[in-house]
Amino acid sequence: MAFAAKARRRDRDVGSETMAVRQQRLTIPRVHRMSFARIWGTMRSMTFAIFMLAGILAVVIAGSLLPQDKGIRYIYESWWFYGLNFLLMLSVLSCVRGRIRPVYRYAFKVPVVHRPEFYRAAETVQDMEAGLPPATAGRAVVKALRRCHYRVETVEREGKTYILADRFRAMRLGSLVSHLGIVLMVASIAWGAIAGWLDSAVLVEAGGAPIAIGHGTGLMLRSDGFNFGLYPDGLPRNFRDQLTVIESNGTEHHDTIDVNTPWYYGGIFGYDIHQASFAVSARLIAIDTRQSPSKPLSYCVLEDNTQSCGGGSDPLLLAPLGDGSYRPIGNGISAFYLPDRDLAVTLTFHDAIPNQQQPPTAVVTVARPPQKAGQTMRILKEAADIPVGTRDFNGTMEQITTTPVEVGGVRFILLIRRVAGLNIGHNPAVPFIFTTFALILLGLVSVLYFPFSRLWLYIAPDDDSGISSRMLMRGSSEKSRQGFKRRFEEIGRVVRRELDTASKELEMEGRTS
Amino acid sequence: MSQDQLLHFSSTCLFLGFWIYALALLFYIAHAIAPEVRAVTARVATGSPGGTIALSGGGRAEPVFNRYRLGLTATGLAYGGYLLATLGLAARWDAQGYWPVANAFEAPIAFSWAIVTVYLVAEKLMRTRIVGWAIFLFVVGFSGYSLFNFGSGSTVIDPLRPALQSNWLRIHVGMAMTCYSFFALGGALSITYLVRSGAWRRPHTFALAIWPVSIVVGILLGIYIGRWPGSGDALTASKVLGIACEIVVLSAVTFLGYKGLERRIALEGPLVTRAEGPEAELLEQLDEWSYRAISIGLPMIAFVLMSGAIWAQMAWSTFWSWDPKEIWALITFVYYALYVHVRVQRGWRGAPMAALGMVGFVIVIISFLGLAYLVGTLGIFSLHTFGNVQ
Repeated sequence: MAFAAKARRRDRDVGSETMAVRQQRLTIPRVHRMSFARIWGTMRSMTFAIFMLAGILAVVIAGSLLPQDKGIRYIYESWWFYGLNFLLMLSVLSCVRGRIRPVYRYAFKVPVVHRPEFYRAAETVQDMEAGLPPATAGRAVVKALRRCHYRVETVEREGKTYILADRFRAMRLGSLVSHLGIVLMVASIAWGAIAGWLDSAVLVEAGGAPIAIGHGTGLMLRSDGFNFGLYPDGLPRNFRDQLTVIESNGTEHHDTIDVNTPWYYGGIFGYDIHQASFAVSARLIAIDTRQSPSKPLSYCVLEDNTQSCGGGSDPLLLAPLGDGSYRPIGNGISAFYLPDRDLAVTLTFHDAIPNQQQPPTAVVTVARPPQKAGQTMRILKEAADIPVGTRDFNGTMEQITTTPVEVGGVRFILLIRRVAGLNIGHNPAVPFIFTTFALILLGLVSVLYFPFSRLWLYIAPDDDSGISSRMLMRGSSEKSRQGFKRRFEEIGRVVRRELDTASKELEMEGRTS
Repeated sequence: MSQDQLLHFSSTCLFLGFWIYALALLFYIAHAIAPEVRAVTARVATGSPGGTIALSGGGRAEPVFNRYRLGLTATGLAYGGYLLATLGLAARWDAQGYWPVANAFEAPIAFSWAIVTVYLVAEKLMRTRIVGWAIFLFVVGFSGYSLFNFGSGSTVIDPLRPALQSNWLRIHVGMAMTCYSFFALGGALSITYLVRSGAWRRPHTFALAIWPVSIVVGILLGIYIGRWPGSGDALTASKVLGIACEIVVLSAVTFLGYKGLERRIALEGPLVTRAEGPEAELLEQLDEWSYRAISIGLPMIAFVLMSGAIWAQMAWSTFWSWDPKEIWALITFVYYALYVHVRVQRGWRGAPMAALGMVGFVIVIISFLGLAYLVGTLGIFSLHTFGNVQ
């Protein structure tokens, strides 16, 4: 209603002719303009921002206590949660926009001269007398205030001295900086979500084939070595991966990464390669010993009633899970099938636990699949606790099972391989996001750790002779009330001391002259 | 000293320090409730309401443990406990080679140590000891929870997980401990304000402080009796209805309490008399110190979020993953930002701010310790939980 009355008054003031011109220029109907202005006005209010924040808080709390695969699934990725955040950002933006000018004026464009009533109408005020003319007293006061680290402005008018002193006035802009930082941060995050990507990849240690990074980069990635450390209780200490990035023209670049040291390939705006996880894999080698020379047999990996088969000379190392990821055998049992011999094989690997003196071991089970309906799997051999050691295999030292398992003319050997799970991402917004974080922090620190305070002084002649003056000092601060009161009294003492000194100096000069 | 000797020395220091803290708590409580004996005029004139030097009036024998001496003994004990806790943590640090902040045994102990550090400095600056009881209530609570729940861990070293082997552990966790300690101080000052002013008996403050706490307690109860949906359960309509009913019932109980207090005031006159003189000054001081403690903590929690995001970007390749711990750190930041806004922009003072300060510390406790249990109970995945809690 108030807005409508204001709009009516404004219309009257402007006049019908001007209004006609304005209406021609703006195609939005007046009613809609008013609604938009009203919405914008609501958004500018602190109450709206507080309600939005409280609402988002409630949603976020509920989201953090609900498993995210439930009915309220992906609360943080739902359109209405984005909508709430968007509204909050609009609110913050409108608040900031509406406050830039007033805050700037409040900090930097403050009048020095006021009427005497202004100086008395404050909670923190001091009344002082000095046996000095106003101009001399003013100079002494300026000296005292500068000693208290205040920035001072002085105006002399009609025999009176007006002083404005302030401390940390630029810090008053901190709230704008932090709010602007929030808006820019959300904008950067949105940009990153659109322009960035994050993928995971599994690389088998030295000897594995390179993988394509994709996303039009034309880059390939290869692991040249994987150092894997264990604590005495078998928990991982750290894992380092020696990586090679191969560009489309064949140029190779090398680096070593670990969990907290990613590779920023191409700088901070390039691609990040992170060491995300680790696993143990095994390469099954099934050798036909009946042939001379013996040759490896091809096999298929069985997973959830499906099978994927590798070439005879390129046996699969990992069990594919179908969604682009792999299940290394260290996490469970892997099943294989040898079509040439109609044999099913399962493998399990146990890593070493040094403080229990338990070396790495493997379990191999070989079985004959059912031949007819109604038959069950017939186990041919079960070999548990097969030791794993380092041996020469095809000219290189490999970690393999040292006791081969032989069934029906087939020798089974396990070649243990480490597998690195990598995260490869590209998010050009990350440096900007951290810069906006720094802006928020800067704003908060400047506002809360360097509270802005201001003093006004009015020095007028106490009598007609003009040799003594009366002084009023008014103070205001965004510091705590009690703290500033103490500071204000302290400043008063410093000013009085300086006035006394100036007074004595003047006396000495008078005597000398 | 060998690693084992260091660990046993650390354990002894920590347990002994805990009992001295408990003793300090008793003395701080006695100091807070002891009647004010006539104080030296000079001290009152400087505006120092607590820690005054008591004099006997009219030749009457002065009690051995007057208010001042009780306070002094409490502070002495606090310094003693603090020294032992410092030695205990330092020995553990030396034994394991990294800051003792990485598991459910170490984190509450380190947090207690940080709270006492901040409090002892604040006690010197504030020149009053009347907040000590609330601070040491937290300290004894946190250290007791750790020592008596995970005491067996005091002589065992947990290997540091690969993701924690970073300088960011010190920067991020160290700053988190510091900022939460400032919030603890703010919470303690707020509780002291509410108790001292009798404001908790005012209907509005009662409703403001009790309603969110009752909802949180209700949700926790709901979790334990299995109404809240856990991992693998479907969020059925009956469960949603159950949760909604629970919130409605708890809100209604709070509202009835509020109306009851209002009615009592109408029948018997005001329950709270307005403080005057030094007491009013003391309350104003408590209010201001509470705000100052929280305003020191606010930029720090912003830094905690920032350093956590940088670390997560390095270790997990994403600066934000909506992990429950990240969410609750954000909630803490937003809550205290709201606190500062209502004070600065809306000019709130006194009891409502104290109620908000108290609720804020409840959020800090959930964020720091409670969440580990919540995610374990609810079956929510979190990268931040302490291994030995789950």
